[in-house]
Amino acid sequence: MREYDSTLSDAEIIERVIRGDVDTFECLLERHQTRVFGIVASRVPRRDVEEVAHDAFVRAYTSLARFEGRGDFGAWLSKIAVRACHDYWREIYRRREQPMSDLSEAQLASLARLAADRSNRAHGEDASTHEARSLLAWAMDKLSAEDRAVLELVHIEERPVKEAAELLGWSVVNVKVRAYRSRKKLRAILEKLNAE
Amino acid sequence: MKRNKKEIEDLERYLFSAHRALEAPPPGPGWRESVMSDIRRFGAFEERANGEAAFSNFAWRFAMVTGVVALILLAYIYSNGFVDYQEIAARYLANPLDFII
Repeated sequence: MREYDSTLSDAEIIERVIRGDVDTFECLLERHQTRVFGIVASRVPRRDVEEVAHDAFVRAYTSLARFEGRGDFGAWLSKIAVRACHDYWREIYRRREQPMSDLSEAQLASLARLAADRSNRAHGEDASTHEARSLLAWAMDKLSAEDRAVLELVHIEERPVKEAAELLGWSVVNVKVRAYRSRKKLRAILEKLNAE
Repeated sequence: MKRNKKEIEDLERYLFSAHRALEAPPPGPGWRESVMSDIRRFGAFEERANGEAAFSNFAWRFAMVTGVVALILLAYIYSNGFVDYQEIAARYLANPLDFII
């Protein structure tokens, strides 16, 4: 990577990029890649994280003229990353792929029982368990791309509704309604799984 | 057997906390270079902006000409009436006698 002045602000770097110094964009990449990977990794399967993060940065570059150095570049980039993830799921659903879980119903039911037992004992203590993630991935795969996006932001990441609305570019009312419905749908999926 | 509400909420909380604990993988060795190579392919911002502006100007000029042509055609059709030659030909072929008499 080429050397650059680390005291330059994001706005100054953007100004240089817009003036034609394309290589300076790499500074923004280095500064913000952890943030973008954090957003993307919690939303898309691990195998596609790099691709979606790549897409988010390319989108940021092509829309840079619209940013024009106003506000916080990190927050603006976060919006782009969240929307890139949303578009990723819309495309997956459109193609009707089976992206997340290849577990059988019986395996899922046993995972649900196992996860429930653990949650009864002390939820959160061993939260890094692989089976819990597989189960959640399976359940979320049954939701629409919109429900998935809002559930992740409002219920899993516990962001305020207003922030979620800004990130998705939706109205606050829309986010509130979707957040309520998506959680209800998720609970119905989990209930049904255990009832079978 | 259906779970009660509390059990489902506990399960959901457990699943969410498991998801939150997921750590983002670091980018692979060639990732940054691959993003930059795509970005360089787009070209410098000013060049691209100039190219887009030129295309946009051309498209708008062309749109105006298209609009004017469409209006002239509409005026012509309105004053002369619309003749569907295809339908006349089809009717003639279906029943030529009607057209001769």
